[in-house]
Amino acid sequence: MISFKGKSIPVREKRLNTLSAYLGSTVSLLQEIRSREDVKQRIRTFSETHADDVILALKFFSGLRNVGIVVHGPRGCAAASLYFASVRQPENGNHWMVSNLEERDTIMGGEEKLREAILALHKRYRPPLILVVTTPVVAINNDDVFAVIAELSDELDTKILPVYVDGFTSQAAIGGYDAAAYALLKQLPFEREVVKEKGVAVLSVNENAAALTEIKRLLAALGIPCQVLPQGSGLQDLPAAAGAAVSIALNRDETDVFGRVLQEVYQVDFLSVPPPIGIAGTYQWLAALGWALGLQAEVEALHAAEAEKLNNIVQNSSLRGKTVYVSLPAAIAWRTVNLVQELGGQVAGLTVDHVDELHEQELAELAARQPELPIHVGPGQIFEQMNLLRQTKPDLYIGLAEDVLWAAKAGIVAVALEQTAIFGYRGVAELNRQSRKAFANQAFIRQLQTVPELAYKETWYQKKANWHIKLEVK
Amino acid sequence: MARFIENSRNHCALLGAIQTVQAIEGFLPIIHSTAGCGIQENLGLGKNGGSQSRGSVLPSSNVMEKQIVFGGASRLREQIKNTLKVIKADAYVVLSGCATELVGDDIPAMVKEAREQGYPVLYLQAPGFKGDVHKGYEAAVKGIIEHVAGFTLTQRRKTAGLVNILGIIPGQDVFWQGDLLVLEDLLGQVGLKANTLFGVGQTVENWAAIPDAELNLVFSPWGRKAAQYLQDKAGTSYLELSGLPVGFEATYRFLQVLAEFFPIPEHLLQAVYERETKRQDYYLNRLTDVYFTTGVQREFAVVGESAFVLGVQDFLTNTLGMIPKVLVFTDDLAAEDQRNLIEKANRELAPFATEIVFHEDQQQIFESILRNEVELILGSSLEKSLSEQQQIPFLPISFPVTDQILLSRSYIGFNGAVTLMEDIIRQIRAGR
Repeated sequence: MISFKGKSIPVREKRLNTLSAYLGSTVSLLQEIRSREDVKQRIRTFSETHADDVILALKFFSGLRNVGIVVHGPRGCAAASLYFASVRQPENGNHWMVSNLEERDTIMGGEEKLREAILALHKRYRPPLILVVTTPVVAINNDDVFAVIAELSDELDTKILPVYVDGFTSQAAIGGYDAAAYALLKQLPFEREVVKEKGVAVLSVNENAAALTEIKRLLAALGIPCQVLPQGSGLQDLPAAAGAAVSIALNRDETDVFGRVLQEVYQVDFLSVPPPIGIAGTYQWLAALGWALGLQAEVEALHAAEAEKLNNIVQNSSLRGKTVYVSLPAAIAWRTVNLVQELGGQVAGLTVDHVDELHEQELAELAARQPELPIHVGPGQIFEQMNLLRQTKPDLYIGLAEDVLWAAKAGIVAVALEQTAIFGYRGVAELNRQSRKAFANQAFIRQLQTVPELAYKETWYQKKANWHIKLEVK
Repeated sequence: MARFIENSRNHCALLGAIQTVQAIEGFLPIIHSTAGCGIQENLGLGKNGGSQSRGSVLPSSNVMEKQIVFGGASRLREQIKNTLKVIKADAYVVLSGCATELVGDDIPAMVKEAREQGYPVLYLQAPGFKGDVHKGYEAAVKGIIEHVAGFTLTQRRKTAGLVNILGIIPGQDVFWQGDLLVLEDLLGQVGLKANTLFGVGQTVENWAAIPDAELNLVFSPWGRKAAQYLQDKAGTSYLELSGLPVGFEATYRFLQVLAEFFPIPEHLLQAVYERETKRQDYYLNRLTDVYFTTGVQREFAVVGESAFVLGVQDFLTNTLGMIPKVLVFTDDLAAEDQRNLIEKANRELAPFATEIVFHEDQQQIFESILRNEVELILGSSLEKSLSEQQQIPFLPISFPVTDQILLSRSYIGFNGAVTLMEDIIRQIRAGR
């Protein structure tokens, strides 16, 4: 049960026993996750930079519409927003400010600067919703963000919400999505009378346009009206979520809090199912929805038709007989592993950004098939992945671009999922197509081998990849 | 006191220091801060035009609550030790972020330990609350010189014709690599050797050779502190230019200025002059038709770093006959630099009543462009949105550039001006 009593939601480590550092077999990880109390936190004695909750909170809000975002901190804490604002549609009408704390403010407090930033944002654009995102400095010097917001909320005719993130309490960046959703839902009682419709709230924070197009295509084929939330939503769109018949996650790690609150507070059933990736994965996702809405027969018919269309691709898959290393955000990764296997590939290794209780089912499925498959939990820890790739020598690497570039530098044929709409039935064909292209012409990868080598030392490759992962001493 | 900023484009000192250090081959930053600082750099700078090639991801101590409460010095010690074991580098540069500076970690002690063991580890203080990218660059350049150049300097022999290039900020000048290559080539044409310090082929050796140079060429106020330091410590003179040379006139003037300092044979300059006048005349002659059919004579706005805005303005005004309506300087210049700049503008741009603006806040910038009713905007991707909304032709010339990759493109020097003309006219024609 999610309680709104706190300033923010407890960090993932406390709420879901989330691990951000691990290397071991699938079966031992499953045992540890299942044991609940025996989950042991680990730390790294050498680490590389990785996203934190501040960055993911900014990413979450960059997907909304017509909101004002004040990053309350030193100027660099808003740097990522420049990227998020440029990749998201610029016309989404969001406005970004940084309160620009300087040395003096870190000592004397930055409340006045926050006040000025909020006032300026309000005066300039009058956004119906202003989100104040805190940063490490604000957490350390203990600015009274809430007092400033409470005062201005009385003065200004707009909603102003504090979002408490600090970049150091949790190792799991995904907590930024939790904090963002919590702030949004805690402060936003949907006062409008809720009319139950047969629509579905498709919960999405991060999926790209191609993924959403495929999901909308499938739901349209089933005659299910849907609204994608919170991505693409403004303040006025959010109450629709409370009026939905059910909500379903595209990535249940990212929308866990959003879905749970809808269920617990607004009685909207939350279907926390794994993402619709792969043939069976897409079917299971649709089947959960069909079952909830009484559309089982329609789902069966759609699945049969779509799966039929993929027969040829599965038979002649470019992954057949290939070994594949998968490195993706956890929820996506488990389903991508299944997809690789559906296409006849063999998974040689797996890196995810975190693992927790939400993944128990997928871990159990994987452990039943490949109990000894090594699972690496290491957000941004490329040095460990490079070591593992040297050992596993996969034919293909599937990941996000920020990781893929390193695999390519190490000479491994690679597919980056940014440009690959992997969701739904079409995602099966798309992954096959991208892999086929990657294998067909490896000139660029070969070319990369002539440019200066990777800087990781040979002695590091001689060590075990988990050398720097240690049990945390409390 | 600095205030809030809408869509800040100057980020913070830590991010500036990170990208400055990364632009030297073989130099590796070790960030001592919370986990996200390195990613902020990647998203805020790297993906917006400041991208660097790297041999590894950025090592970072990723301090957690425990280190915030009890101090993170021992975590840093561990991180330094293990970075030395995992990643090859010629120099490891510890960069402190806000959190670790606030809690008062004894970073110098940790770095000193490693140095005493013979490892090339340096420390640069660069918390974001100390200022923006420019301050980070300033601190990094001066700090690295202090550590790497070694100072028994005044006795060192100077290398004839060697010139250090200072003040071009990797990434924040989106054309930095191209600009440095152009300067290297230009100096080469008159028998000098540029020590460009950043980018392709520039390693610790180039930094070690800094005191050997005969001259430091300073292209922006952000290179001044290093130049003054070198004057004091190594006795090297410096020449501060008003900005980067854009176009034939400015580039030739630049070479003439060098000739005042170095014994450049007159016939060499004359040969360059003749060759380049011919080329410029040829190209201007060729574009005349398009100039009039397209309506190239625009009233324009330039938004960007002071070092480049002036050069671009000079070329557009004095060669292409355009009308400078507003110049927006987005780097946070000192009051005296602002005054000098305004005086210069008053002197040179009097006929045009050009508005001079110093600001980095997006709304202030947009308002100054709108109130001048310009017909062409040269600026960053942030101004692009305004140009689209107002249907005004736009060319990216300053940070951030979010929809292009700039590898060796440059608008400075003789050839850069030709590329600039091509690009401006393409944008004007596309926007008709």
